[in-house]
Amino acid sequence: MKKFFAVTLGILTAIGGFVDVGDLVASSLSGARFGLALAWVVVVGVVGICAYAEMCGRVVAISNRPVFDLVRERLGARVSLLNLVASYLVNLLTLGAELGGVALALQLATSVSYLLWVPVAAFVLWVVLWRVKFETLERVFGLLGLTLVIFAVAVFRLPGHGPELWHQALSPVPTHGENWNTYGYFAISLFASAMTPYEVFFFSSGGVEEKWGPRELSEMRSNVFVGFPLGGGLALALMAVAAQVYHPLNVKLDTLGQVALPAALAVGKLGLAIAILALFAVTFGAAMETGLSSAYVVAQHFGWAWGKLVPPRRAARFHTVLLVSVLVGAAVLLTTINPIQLTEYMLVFSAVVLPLTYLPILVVANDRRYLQDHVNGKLANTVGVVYLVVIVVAAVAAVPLMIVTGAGG
Amino acid sequence: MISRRWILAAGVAVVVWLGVAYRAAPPDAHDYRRDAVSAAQAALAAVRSVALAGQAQQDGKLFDPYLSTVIDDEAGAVASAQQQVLGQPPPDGTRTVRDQLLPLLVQAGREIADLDAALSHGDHAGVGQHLNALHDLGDRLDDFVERYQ
Repeated sequence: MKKFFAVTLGILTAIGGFVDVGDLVASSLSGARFGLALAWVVVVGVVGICAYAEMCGRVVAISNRPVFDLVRERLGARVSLLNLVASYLVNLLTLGAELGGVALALQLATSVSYLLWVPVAAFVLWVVLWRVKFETLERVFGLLGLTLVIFAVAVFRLPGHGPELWHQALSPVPTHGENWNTYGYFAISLFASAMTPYEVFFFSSGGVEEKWGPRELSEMRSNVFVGFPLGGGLALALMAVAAQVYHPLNVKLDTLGQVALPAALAVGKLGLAIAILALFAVTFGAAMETGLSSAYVVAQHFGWAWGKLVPPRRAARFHTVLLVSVLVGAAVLLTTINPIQLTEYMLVFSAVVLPLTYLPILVVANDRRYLQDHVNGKLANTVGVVYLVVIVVAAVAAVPLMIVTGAGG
Repeated sequence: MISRRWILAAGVAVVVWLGVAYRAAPPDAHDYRRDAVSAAQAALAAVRSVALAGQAQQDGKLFDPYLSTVIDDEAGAVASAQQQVLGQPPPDGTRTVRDQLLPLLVQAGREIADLDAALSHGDHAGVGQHLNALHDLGDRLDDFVERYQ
């Protein structure tokens, strides 16, 4: 019974923790522009992140070492440094975008400008990361993220949830007034939002923090193969409500307030309150993950003591990188860059660096020195290689499509 | 001998420079029409979002801080759209585009501000009137986008 409870809690946490500001923005914008014509990309992205997260989890459970640590050992310092620089910069952008999401959610609740909330959010984030236990952080914000279910409820309470949505989902082509370039650009953004690099760094480092071993493999797999797809379902719900409310009106979304409005239209004040809480929880939870991931990758690359289980005095450099990352993320926002635009750019640059994140994972997951009999089987390798091709295509096409479409027009 | 790395770096620099030069060039008629459509789409999104939010507020579905944030954001979006259109002189053959769009953008800003005032004063008749005006304006902006897209 205790084991069942632990597995269920893990799955619920994985569902609630799956969505971040990238998913919020990419899913809602795509839903408003294309209806559900890009829903297939969310499915493709979820299968991809499941495949690679399972590889990461297996590497951690068998070797008891995080993936980034093994990447340096297996592929050498130069490849690892390239990986580090690219991943850290994208992590910083993501951290800025998540902090922006937190500040915007607070603005929706109070009408106080998000710029005034940025320093507060950054400070609270740092205090929480400094003081609160890893497992508590993961559980509280993962479970609070489940309040996103309000958007799934809204799907059924808003008009137009029947055959029309199915028809859109089964017509994977640009809608009236759109072209293939913008369709491709949004497809890449959605794909990158599902496979954002920090997710695997956090997942694998978190596994080390929680001391996964071979006995935790089944629990890890249930989190990945049940929790992540259900989390992807919440991203689809966000896309669907935007498709129902905004797509027929030819409205392009560009604020978080617009993202929350369908919940209010469907359920009223309670729906709006839950939606704003959900936006806050998923962005704050993801801000914690990206903040920690930034410090994880740097500390693991240089071989420093790292982790929340290590007393801060012994992991001073890890905590310094964490603090500096949070400060830089906040400083980026205080330039007054629009957080939604920052998120869109973050997704494009995430797409560009995806191969640097996922190729080394595939290599390490095939190395018997680390995984013994638990190396990738034929299915995992086939899926891994197919996705690597998709990832490379997305990486190559991301920037040209951003330029051609003017970042989605 | 110049290494391949330097040639590659020089090639990348030239491509970047050409890209920047292309983006910095003054707009031609096609660019101007594209920017005008983009401004009209931003105003359309603002007008329709405010109309949805205003109706929801009438139905008792929103909190005041949320409504205030949505209206401020959308009023800002309309102001940016106006700046975008006024910020560049129309090239030959595009004056009509500007002359059709500008009144719509001005009306969008005015209607959003008036709806905000009516909502603040609890003027239900005024709210209904401005919601109708926003719906009508949304249709006209949509027509503009359809015509020039």
